[in-house]
Amino acid sequence: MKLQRRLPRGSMLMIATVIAGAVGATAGAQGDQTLDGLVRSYMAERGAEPQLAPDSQLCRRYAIDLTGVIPSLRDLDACEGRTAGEMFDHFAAKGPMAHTDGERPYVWINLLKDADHFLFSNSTQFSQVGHIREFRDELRDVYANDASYAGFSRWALQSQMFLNRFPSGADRANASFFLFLGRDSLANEVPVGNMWNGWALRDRSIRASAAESNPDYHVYDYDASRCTSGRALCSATMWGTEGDTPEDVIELMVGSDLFLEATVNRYWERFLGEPLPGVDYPEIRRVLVRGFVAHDHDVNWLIREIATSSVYTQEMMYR
Amino acid sequence: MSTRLYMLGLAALVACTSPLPAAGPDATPDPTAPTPSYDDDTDTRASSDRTLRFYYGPMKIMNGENALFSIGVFTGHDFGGWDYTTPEPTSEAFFDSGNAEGRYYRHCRQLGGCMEHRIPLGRTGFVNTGFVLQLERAVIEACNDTEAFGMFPGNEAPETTTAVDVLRHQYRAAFGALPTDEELELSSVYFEGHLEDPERSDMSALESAGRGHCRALLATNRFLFY
Repeated sequence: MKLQRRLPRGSMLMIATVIAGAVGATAGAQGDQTLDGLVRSYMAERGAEPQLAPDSQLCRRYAIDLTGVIPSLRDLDACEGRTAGEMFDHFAAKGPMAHTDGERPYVWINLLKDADHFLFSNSTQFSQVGHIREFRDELRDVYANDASYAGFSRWALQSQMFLNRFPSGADRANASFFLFLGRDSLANEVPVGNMWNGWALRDRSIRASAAESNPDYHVYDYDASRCTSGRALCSATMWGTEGDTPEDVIELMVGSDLFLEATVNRYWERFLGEPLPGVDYPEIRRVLVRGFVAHDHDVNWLIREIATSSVYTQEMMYR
Repeated sequence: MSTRLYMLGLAALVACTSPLPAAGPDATPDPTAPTPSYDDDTDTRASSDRTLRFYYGPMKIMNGENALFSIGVFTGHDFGGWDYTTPEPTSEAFFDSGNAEGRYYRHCRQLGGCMEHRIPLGRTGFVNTGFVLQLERAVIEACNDTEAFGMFPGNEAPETTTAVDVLRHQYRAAFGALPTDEELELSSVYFEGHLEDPERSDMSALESAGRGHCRALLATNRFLFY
């Protein structure tokens, strides 16, 4: 609640930032609805039923998505006659990149894989070996030990590797918003950049005037009614106030609904190959976000929920 | 399949003739409207444009890393490793890194960038000419590796096996399923022609045909998409 008090009161900006605690408190209330149940209900509305993919096709899909390679002949034998959940468990137990004997484990599947703001840059790879290993160990915990992804994100944004890779406040704001909030450039987000550098905001009028003259300036106002695109995520107010610290910025990010939505959206896109349906199916995002919070930000739960649902296990269109 | 395509076209037609949502992205939000939250199931934002979105499973293309490792698993070929702590594999400073040739690096970079790499901005995210050519290079390198026999039954040179055995093995290993009758017939024609006039003379005619067929299978969209 500390952060909520910090937000400017009476602002003209539409402030609807909900901190994680508030979401978590309601997450369990209707958390028994599953993604698969939702999808089946959508199809039932049209008088249709899911048509599951053949074992061989689904086995190949699981193998590539969960381990990074096509299934071996032994895997194909193991998939015969299995349910989707059993196939998922078979490959999930192997672990990503298991065929490399643990040399490159757990990394490929992470949220950062497709990010353009890449943490492993040409310059940092050489000098930051220790930090990269540390980063990888932390990430391994998220997948191997069901560690909280929110906790990992907090750690990552303060890790020496991240700070070294993105030395300026503007860079850190850009990269962190892209990686963890699923948003692009924050070129005008000077207050966040400043805070990340540890500078106190000195002149609130800069922020206000910029917001008034530039409609794109406050794209992070949380206004769900604007979420009309399947690709665009609902935005959230991310304003800090005078005296905020980098830790405050991180808490503001990780504690926002946008963080949850971006995480869910990225995993959906990772496994389904397309953005999470936006305004047409708001229930999907809601169910996944609720479950994600209820399971203590466990990405393994999120992956299994998506990858064992009918939306993933049906037959491919062109085959 | 034809019924599905018809239904898809029908859905597209319906979608095109459906009225647009009342509020677009530029619409001014109603300041008096309650703020939706995750404990509120009375969201009325859902539009009527519910097409056949959930009628099929996903179809995705392998990224460079998945493609290279999958080709490696299928053929038994080693593209070389990549140490993520090594910034530039072609640099002389890293000749001892195990990937001094930079084969994996070059393949992966052109195929769209791989994890733990410095990836180029604007990297290829689709099948363009460069992607196809690089994939072909990778496939040729793997299938023509005379020390790799993963594309043959038992992971060994095909001395006691038949062309059909090789075909069935390759289809199942590459695509996860045995060939259909039509596929088997088409591939058999290729094998018969190749056996009469082998491409290579430094191996058995069947092995030469199997390696040629390996290149054909791995260059297909069916292998690349999943």
